[in-house]
Amino acid sequence: MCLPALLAALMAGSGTALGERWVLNVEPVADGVYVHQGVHEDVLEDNRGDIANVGFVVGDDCVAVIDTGGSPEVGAALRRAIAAVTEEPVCYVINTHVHPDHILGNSAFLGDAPEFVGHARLKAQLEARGPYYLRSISRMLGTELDDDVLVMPDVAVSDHLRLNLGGRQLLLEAMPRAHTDNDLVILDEATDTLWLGDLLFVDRVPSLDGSLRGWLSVLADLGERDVARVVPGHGPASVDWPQAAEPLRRYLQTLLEETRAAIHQGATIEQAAGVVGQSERGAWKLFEDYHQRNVQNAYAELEWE
Amino acid sequence: MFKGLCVGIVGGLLLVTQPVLADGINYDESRWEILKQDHFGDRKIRDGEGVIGVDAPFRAADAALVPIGVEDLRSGRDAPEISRLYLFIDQNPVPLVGTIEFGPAARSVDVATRVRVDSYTFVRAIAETVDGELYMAKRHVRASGGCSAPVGADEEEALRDMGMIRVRAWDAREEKGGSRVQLGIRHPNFSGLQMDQVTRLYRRAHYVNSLEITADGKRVLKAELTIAVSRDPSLRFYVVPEVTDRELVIIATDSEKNEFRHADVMRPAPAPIDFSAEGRRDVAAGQGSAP
Ligand SMILES: [Zn+2]
Repeated sequence: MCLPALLAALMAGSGTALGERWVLNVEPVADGVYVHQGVHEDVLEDNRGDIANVGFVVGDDCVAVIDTGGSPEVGAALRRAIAAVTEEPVCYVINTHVHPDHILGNSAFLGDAPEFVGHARLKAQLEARGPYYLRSISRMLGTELDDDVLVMPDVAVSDHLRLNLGGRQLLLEAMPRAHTDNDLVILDEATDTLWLGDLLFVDRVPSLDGSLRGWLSVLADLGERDVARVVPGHGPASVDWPQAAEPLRRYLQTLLEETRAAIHQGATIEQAAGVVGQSERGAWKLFEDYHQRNVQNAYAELEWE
Repeated sequence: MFKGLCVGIVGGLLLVTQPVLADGINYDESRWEILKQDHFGDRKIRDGEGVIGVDAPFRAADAALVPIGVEDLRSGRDAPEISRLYLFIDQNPVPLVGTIEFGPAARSVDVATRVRVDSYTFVRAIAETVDGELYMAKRHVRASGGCSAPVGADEEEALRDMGMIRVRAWDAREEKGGSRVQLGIRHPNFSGLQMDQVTRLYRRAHYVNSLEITADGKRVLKAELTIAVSRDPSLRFYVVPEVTDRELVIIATDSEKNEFRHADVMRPAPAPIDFSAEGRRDVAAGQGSAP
């Protein structure tokens, strides 16, 4: 009975030890473009929700932050990392989508009074899911997150939007339903760096929360883009395009074909979760944690075809 | 293989009578004591062994979509006829998932659905026989937040297509002596526990609350359902062989008094292949992927 309590105490200790001095380590992936790579773990007390890639782009006048991490602590550590690079103000905080590991650090930027920017469907989803995210992430972090942690977008992107940082522009594009129904991609035109958010997973098993068919089609479209590099939502800070999407495309295609086949062969949803996509098991981190859920979601989508 | 493992673990733990065990999980029966009193008073509830079983995952992959099933274990036994099933999730805000009454066109009381599970909890099935006896089976499930989990990203689609009904039937004569029917109804099934962050109000519950299914004019089943059922309610059941190529009529109603109807001749597809652990290798081999 004592062991779990002891472990919890140790984990909480290592988390708070980072505290006020925690500065995210960021790497420059192109001129003025900085990315921090999150760890391939679930949200845990000792990683403080630092499990997704976050970063920022520095213009002549101001800074745009792209995703803020899975807790206000990660957001604050990202803010310190920005301060270590530039004294410029943060004028935009862009969220690539609603998932908590990308958005719960937003409140750390309220002091900069930036504009918060997201997909046109982001607000509705954050309103609907926010309270649930706060409860479940609070439990996982062992820290109570209050309502102020949820910061709604001020600017909604329904198609395209250009943001001027002084001397460089970001082109934001709203995507159709894919990883979620509110995925936004961001192109830094100065360096041809494309931020894909969770439309690209590298090494970590993807999580499907939008549309399997939609995601494959968005990936195919984005694959045509001629860019210097892309930043995935999970994986290395910067990867080559479109080669880096191949494992993800293969995973999703396998999920599509095998789930469809299982449905047509009469498998129930429970049975499908046990047989579909097993060839992908060795190719991904956290496969055991998310794959069955992906199959269930794929099944619930494809059974209506 | 996984299923076997779960049976072993859960079965083992149940032998211990203390509610809180070394793994820190609360195998609490106190809510059930209250539910039992509410629904069944002082009636005796027997162990379901040889009558019914409950199938549910040990740990749910998605709390908002947990597949659960009731297995009819009477085949080849001299067990009494079951007229009604009750499904409960002890720790949910609304613990009763639903009740199902079976008619002459039902082959067995094998049913499966997908539910929301709000906490670590027992999922239990109670079977009531025609002569009034009660039998119970239960399974522990680890999941949390299912009832307040928001409706997924398909919300607009779910509302637009609300009431669309999809039926698939499979020849299951070898497996169960009839046809297996898989029914799906497009419906957001708002639980009423999803809060709107701006208004701070809970969204009104809006869910499918009854289902009436007949085949060739004879009742298969009648179900009363609650908010515990996942979005796009799903039900799997078996019909007797005499009605398998006859008209299946489904009438569903929701809590806002919408009625959804579907009527079509069942055309069962050939027997499903074996997806059990032993059968999996063949399935994987047979599937291949397109070039
Ligand atoms: Zn995501």
